[in-house]
Amino acid sequence: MNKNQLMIEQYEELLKASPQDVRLRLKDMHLTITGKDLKVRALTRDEILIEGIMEGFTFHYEA
Amino acid sequence: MKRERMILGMDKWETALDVARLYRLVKKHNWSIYELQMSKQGITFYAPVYERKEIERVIEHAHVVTTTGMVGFLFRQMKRPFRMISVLISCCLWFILSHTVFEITMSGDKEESKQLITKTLNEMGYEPPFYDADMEKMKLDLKKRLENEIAWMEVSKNGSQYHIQFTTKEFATITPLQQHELIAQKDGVIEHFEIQHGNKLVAINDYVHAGDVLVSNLLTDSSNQEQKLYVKGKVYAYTWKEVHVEMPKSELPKPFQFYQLLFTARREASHDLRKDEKIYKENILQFQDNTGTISMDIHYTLLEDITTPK
Repeated sequence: MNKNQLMIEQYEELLKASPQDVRLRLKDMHLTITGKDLKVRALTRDEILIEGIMEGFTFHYEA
Repeated sequence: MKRERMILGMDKWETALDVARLYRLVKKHNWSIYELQMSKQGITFYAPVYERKEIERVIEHAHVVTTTGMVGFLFRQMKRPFRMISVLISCCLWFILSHTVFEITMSGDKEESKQLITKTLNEMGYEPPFYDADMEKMKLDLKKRLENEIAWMEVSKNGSQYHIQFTTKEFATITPLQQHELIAQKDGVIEHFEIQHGNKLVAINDYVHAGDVLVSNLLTDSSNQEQKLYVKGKVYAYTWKEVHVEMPKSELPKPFQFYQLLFTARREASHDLRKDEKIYKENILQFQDNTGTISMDIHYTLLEDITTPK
């Protein structure tokens, strides 16, 4: 994590990306990042870099 | 995105593709995309130039908006032929001019050798301006051609100029032997001989007169036959000279005036002496102080080669 940036490694799938929220599927959970002006700055097979004002992180563990 | 990557060059893509599908494609094809932006018209993103072909193939309606950085600059230049031609011409000119020698300068001990080197270089095809192919080869060829004339040579390059330094070979002067007799040019008493060839007719301490034959070109052998000889050498003898000098009296003290006169006399006595000849003895006969003038009479004994005319 650096200033307004968040780097996530080993993500499985990017489910949604909008300026208000970004949803990702990780190995055993879903991650939802909420905030303002969220942008995907870089996207590779294993890494994703998100930039913006991040206000909340919600984890949903898969049963 | 890393700034260096942008400077090097990235493609900016635009596509109307669904976002989720794009993400899946990125994951599937192992691409790296940057600066994703979504608008009503579609998605824009940056991707490395080397992924262009694959993106074009996979995403049907995607198109490159622009290319950033140096790669983009090069691509844009390639679309303007005149600019490319002028760059190529500049490169060619730079290459040609930097490999051309426009002047050859020389420094050495003889002007004749400079002219000889210039002439030889012209014969070898090195007449400025010429293409600077191989300076060492030129130096070796030139040395080989002038090995009898030039003792040492060095060639250095300064920009588009060659500089040649050289030293000319020195040769001993060979004088052909003559059969002329050595004859005394003036009266004197023989002091020593420096004879390489010839028959001496006089001895040391002999008084000789002008016109006497000192070294002959004839030698009588055991059967009384006269043999012609080469004659070479010098005969040194004591000769005499009287010098009279005078000068107006001056404010200087007398000893100064005396030495002024003495040196004037010495200069006069020795002015036609050659190498190895000298004043042997100096006798002041008279030093007179007349009204307004001082004078001196000096007798000099000189050691001279009396056989070589002056």
